[in-house]
Amino acid sequence: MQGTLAQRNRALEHIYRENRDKVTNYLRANNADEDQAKDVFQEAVIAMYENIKEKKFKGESAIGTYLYSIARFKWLNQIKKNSIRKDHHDQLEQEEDFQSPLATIIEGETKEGVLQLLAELGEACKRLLIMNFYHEASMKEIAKNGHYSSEQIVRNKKYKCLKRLKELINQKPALIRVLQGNG
Amino acid sequence: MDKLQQDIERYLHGKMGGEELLAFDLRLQKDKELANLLQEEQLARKVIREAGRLELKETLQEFENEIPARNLTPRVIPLWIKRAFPVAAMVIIFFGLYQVFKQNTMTPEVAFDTYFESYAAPSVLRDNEGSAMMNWKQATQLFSDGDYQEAAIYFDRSVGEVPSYQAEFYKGLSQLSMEAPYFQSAVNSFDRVLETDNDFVQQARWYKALALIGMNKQSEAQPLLKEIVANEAYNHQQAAELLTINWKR
Repeated sequence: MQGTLAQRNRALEHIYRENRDKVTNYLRANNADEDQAKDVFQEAVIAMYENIKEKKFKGESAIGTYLYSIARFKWLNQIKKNSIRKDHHDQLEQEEDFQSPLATIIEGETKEGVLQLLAELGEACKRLLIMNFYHEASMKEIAKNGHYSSEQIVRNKKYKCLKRLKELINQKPALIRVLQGNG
Repeated sequence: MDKLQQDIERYLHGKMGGEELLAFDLRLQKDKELANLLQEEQLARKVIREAGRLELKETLQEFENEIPARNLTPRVIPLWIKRAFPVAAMVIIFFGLYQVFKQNTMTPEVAFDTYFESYAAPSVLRDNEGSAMMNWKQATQLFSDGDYQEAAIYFDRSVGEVPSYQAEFYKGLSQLSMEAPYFQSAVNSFDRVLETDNDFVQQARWYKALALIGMNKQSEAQPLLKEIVANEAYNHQQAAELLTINWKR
């Protein structure tokens, strides 16, 4: 997952295509419908991406095996959450446990709240902050992609955008409560 | 950026250690304002992380949309099919148009198959460019041979050998010509063609509209079709027909 954003996207696309059928077939064989299998697989890819960035995954196992483990763990949790098919859950629970923190995509009101906040923040700030904090892109890469004339301008802009984001968050106490609750 | 902000960032990144960390933790317990600033920073980062995840999920969904119906093998068309193709295409088009006039109801898949006709293969350029045109030549040959998957790859590589709008147009066209089209990639390519004023703009607009229909995004295709009709641009009659369709789910 090193390199430019375009290179990372190409790597992710390759991983996605290579592993999708294997993982979703497993999930569907364990009572997930097509949409559930796809969603769990996509969240597993996101978790894998974040764990690689945070150096929680160091390549001890093959990417495919890792993705499969995350997806299985996520599906197990979902079954548990929905309290369905308890017998099947017990059977799955005997298998390998998976302790890494896993990305879960926000939904419903939280998602709406975050999207509204980002809309107020503006596209340029949103892009810059996601690139820097989420994708951990360098100032140089952001300057190049965002057509900024220097890295220092990106640094200044980042500081202003972050400040503006904090101001916007402070205007939304309900969202703060939800975000704090999400842990 | 002020010193306090720098300290908060270093604290969150785990870059503080030893006595400095102990001192900062102690200060956090006593200094309510600092604790609030740290909380603000954590919340902002949480929002950015959620936004990053949502954006990444959209990217993955684009990959998903491009996975054809369990068939990724490139299509190489036998010669006899190529020869019979114009006749078959005419039959399909007449049948399609008959269906349109008959009941004016179609699914997006049928509409795409009915209205999509590949554009003429790019002409062979004069060979005075030497090896500098290798990718373009390979791409045009593959396109003529009907190996659209490989052609798309070589058209992509030929950016720099020919104007990028030209390479992108044929790349998009190759992606639409595959047995299981890569609709989203094609739309992205046509969007790049539409960024500048060039000879392929009209055609790119038509093929983008078709690709959107192929993706079941008729509402996004509609303004493009209307624009084509209004300007009497490339394939405006077909665009007008598509605008009259009652979409069947």
